[in-house]
Amino acid sequence: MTTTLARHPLRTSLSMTFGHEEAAPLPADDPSRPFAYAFATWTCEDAEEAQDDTGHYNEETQVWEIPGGGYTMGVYTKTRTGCSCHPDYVTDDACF
Amino acid sequence: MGEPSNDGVVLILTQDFDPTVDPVVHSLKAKDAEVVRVDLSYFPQKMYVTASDFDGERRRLLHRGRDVDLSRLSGVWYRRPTAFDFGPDMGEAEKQFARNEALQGIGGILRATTCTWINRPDLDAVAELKPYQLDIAKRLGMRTPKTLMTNDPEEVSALLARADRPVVYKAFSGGVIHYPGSFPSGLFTTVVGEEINEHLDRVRHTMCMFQEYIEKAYEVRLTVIGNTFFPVVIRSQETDATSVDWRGANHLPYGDYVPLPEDLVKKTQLLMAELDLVYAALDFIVTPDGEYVFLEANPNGQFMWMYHDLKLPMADCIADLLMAGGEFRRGEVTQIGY
Repeated sequence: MTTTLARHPLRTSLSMTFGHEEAAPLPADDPSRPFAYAFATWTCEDAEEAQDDTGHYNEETQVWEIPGGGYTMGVYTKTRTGCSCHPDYVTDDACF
Repeated sequence: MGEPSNDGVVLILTQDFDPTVDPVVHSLKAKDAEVVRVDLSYFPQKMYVTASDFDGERRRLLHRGRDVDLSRLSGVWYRRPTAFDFGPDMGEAEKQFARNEALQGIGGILRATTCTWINRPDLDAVAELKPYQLDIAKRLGMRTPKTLMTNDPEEVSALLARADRPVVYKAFSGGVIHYPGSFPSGLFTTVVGEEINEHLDRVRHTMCMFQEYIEKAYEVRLTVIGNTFFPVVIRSQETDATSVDWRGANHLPYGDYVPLPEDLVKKTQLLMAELDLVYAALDFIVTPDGEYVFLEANPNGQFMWMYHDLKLPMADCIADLLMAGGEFRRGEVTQIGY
């Protein structure tokens, strides 16, 4: 319990709404990267773009609200991958 | 475990952005439950946690005017809390000390509760270990894919040379590679062949998992919420995008409801009991011969996409479990169709 109370912050969907700035990584075929990276294509996306229209957390109702006041209730919990011109989706439970 | 009641308090530990939690919050409110949702990043700047036996026993969590008596908890849902936030002014060494103190203090106070946890984080941390899951599943008599786990490129090369059927590469820790600053990148289970020889040396960088590719009739995502099973058929072979890894499509090709065989239900209950989990999302392949092959169990797997697509009452089921109070006990299984 003591070392597992909070997950690693990047092993959550936090980065979907709050960008963590970092320069573009090494190419996927760089030999210094683990084998898995040979199968993960990724194009750096601007962190501000990633935050567009993601809504906000309402501390009173304790749920996330999208712009316009609607709830995200029942929203697809999928993670968008790739760049905006070639979007792809992964069901978000791929995280765990 | 008793029937749901609204006498206790439900504590949800997760980050602000967690759409899987929102419908459960709505369900809990509809059932008149007292629900408090907090992220551990609120501690210590926006949240107080206190336990004392001076002048009587009391355990208390205070956040935004919500004063939670931790002795009244009926259930805790450990979803996706993020790390404690000690603010920008504290030095790194001090933060490390403060974090360890908080882990010990808050972890210990919450561990001392006797309510239902979905799931206890210490149990989650062990249960999500895929080699461990596969070992238990095999011991319980489930079929699992033949698996090579190694960081030795020669082992992989030898497997590919002698394999008489396709081999897949699969990550241990899930299908997402995180690139800080942007969306995570998807990493699907991938069929590999000799074309990977040029990358084989990269196997040595860390542990890699290779499995035999098993021919599929269809796949099953089984969501276990307490003693309620939600088996969902995914006709993954109907599209190229989902044939190897059904996470590859945004809209899944669902199949008609097929209840799990009783023998598999019993083995799954034994697996859940051995992993000491209340909740898990399990993946199975069903072969053309009708045999179920266990792939993995996700102790914190999402379920809201099926709630949305198939109108399965998963949010209510989670809410009822959190409201029931007392420690969870495995018992007779109810399978829910759609």
